[in-house]
Amino acid sequence: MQVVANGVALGAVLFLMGSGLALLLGAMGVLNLAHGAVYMVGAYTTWTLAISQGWPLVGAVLAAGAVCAVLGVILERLFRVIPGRPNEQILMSFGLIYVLGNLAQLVWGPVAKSPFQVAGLQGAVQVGDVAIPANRLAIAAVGFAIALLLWLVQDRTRVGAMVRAGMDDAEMTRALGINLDRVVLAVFVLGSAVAGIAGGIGGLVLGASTNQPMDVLLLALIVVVVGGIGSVPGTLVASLMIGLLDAFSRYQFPEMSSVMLYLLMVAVLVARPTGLSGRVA
Amino acid sequence: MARRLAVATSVLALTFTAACATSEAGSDSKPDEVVIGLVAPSSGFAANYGPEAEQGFELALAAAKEQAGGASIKLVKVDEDVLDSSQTLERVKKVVESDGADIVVGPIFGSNQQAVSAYLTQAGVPMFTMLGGDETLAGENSAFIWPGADTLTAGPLGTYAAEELGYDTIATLAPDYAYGKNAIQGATDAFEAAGGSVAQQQWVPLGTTDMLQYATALDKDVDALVMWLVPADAAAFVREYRNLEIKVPLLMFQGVFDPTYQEIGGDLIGEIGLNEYNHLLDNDANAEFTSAYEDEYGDVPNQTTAFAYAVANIIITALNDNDGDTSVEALRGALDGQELDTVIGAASYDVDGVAASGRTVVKSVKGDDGRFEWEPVKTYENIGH
Repeated sequence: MQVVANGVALGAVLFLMGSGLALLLGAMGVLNLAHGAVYMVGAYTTWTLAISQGWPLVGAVLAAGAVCAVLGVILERLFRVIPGRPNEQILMSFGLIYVLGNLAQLVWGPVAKSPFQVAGLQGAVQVGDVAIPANRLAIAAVGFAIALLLWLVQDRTRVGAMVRAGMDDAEMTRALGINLDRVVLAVFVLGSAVAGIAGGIGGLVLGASTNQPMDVLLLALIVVVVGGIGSVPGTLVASLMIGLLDAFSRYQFPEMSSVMLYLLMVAVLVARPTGLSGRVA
Repeated sequence: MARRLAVATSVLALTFTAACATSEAGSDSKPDEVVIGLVAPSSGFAANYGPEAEQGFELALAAAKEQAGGASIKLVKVDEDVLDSSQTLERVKKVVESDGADIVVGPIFGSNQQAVSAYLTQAGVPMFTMLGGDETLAGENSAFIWPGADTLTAGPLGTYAAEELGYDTIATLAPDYAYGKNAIQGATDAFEAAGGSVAQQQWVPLGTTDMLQYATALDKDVDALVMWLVPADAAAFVREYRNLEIKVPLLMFQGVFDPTYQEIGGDLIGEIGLNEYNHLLDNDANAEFTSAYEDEYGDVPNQTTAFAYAVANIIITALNDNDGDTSVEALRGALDGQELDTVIGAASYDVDGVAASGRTVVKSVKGDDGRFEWEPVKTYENIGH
């Protein structure tokens, strides 16, 4: 049971990492490789406000989300400079990893910040033989709340319907008089804000570091590939599956644990090339 | 005409050959300048190592007025690529072939040390490590390993656990790569030699971001957990450990370095560690070094800076003893068996170029000024070869 609890806790972290990327990829059809860098900005912003300046964690995380939303606007404008050229967009976003990573190093230094320690989120909840750290419960709560919010926005609102329409047929959506550019901007802002919040709340167990742009990107990509593009439930299920598999493999086959995620990704790609959710980009 | 041309060509060739021979002979005389390539990362996630090593090296060179063995010392800084050893090799080739480096100090990371060792050995260029190394890089190869071989450096932690703390069983936790395995092997070998047994060993794969599994999987019946992780991972593990309220004592090889230690020190009070360097060590060389560092930078130095300073002084000592000869054989001869006064006390190199030096068992405390310190408890001498 401890392994299951560990896996679900990790799955919540992975969902937070992957959901913003899945949303952006689904809405724009463009892979924003700078997603991990946005996560990192959220983590460092939260560290600055909550740990260095003593803000309450909730305020710091929301502020990190706001900072990253602004960053999302800038990124969207940059992507718009080279529309419809996916290779160039991928190259640009890859370059942004280095730009943002080095800027972070300039501002916060090269040494990683330790996992954030916040009053009220220390210790563990004991359920029988299973111990679940309180900070993991907080992350899981935020993760599932964001999943619910994103699902509601995507599946139950007019804006969500526009996003889904844009994903299925951009030309037809534009022909219907929908300003898809504004929808894309809104999704970019939302996805970046989620990444910032993820970085802030994920900092409770992962801290903040200039490694995160690549580390987070890799995990987020696995989540998106397994879960399927643009699907909130698919991303959530994939995150939990990956979290459980990682925890189980580290417990049962520690020597194999580092490759298990990739084996799962290969298996899903072979069985369902569009991922668990079954949507096509 | 053709004969005259042939004679003139022969004379020119002979003159050129003689000039070359003179130049070769000249290389045996005292050099005017010794070029040292300092290889450490100054970009990427380990970017702190380069500037820290430079600080230590420059302090030592300044104290020696940038002279050794009658030659002036020129330092050339090289950015070590911690993710791509082939890049590091290319940069080391450049510093040797274009900048004329006579001695290379570094690289920091084991994978890069392995990548450049064969080239430097073939080129006859000595490689002085600053933060450990595999002993196979010394001997027939050109490395000088400081402060001792990786497989022995953590030995006193095992000895102390068995003999001073009376522990019977330990678990271990370390990264799943060569340095982690070698360091832990030193501790477990010593612990078993003193009568203890190792109940559990966990190896953390590269790229692991979540330490919770390793904390929850720990065998809680052991007397202590012997661990070494890089500071960021150690901090993440310790936070999980404390959240789970695990009571098994920690025995931390190297402890946790600043500035990470100052962030998580409150979670480590009373825990035991083993330091290769500690700024509180009570010896003349360390007092001189820490004083010079504080005057220059207004802070306490860390291990990277201290060991760069120590290695720079060792090179200067060897060059002074052999009139600036930078060959591997001459430096080995100068250092073999010589007692060196270093920032970690007495140290020496053996004939293969592997150092032995002191290791200090330390305890985590919080000072009156609010600073967390690893307070020296006991020193073990002559560890490393």
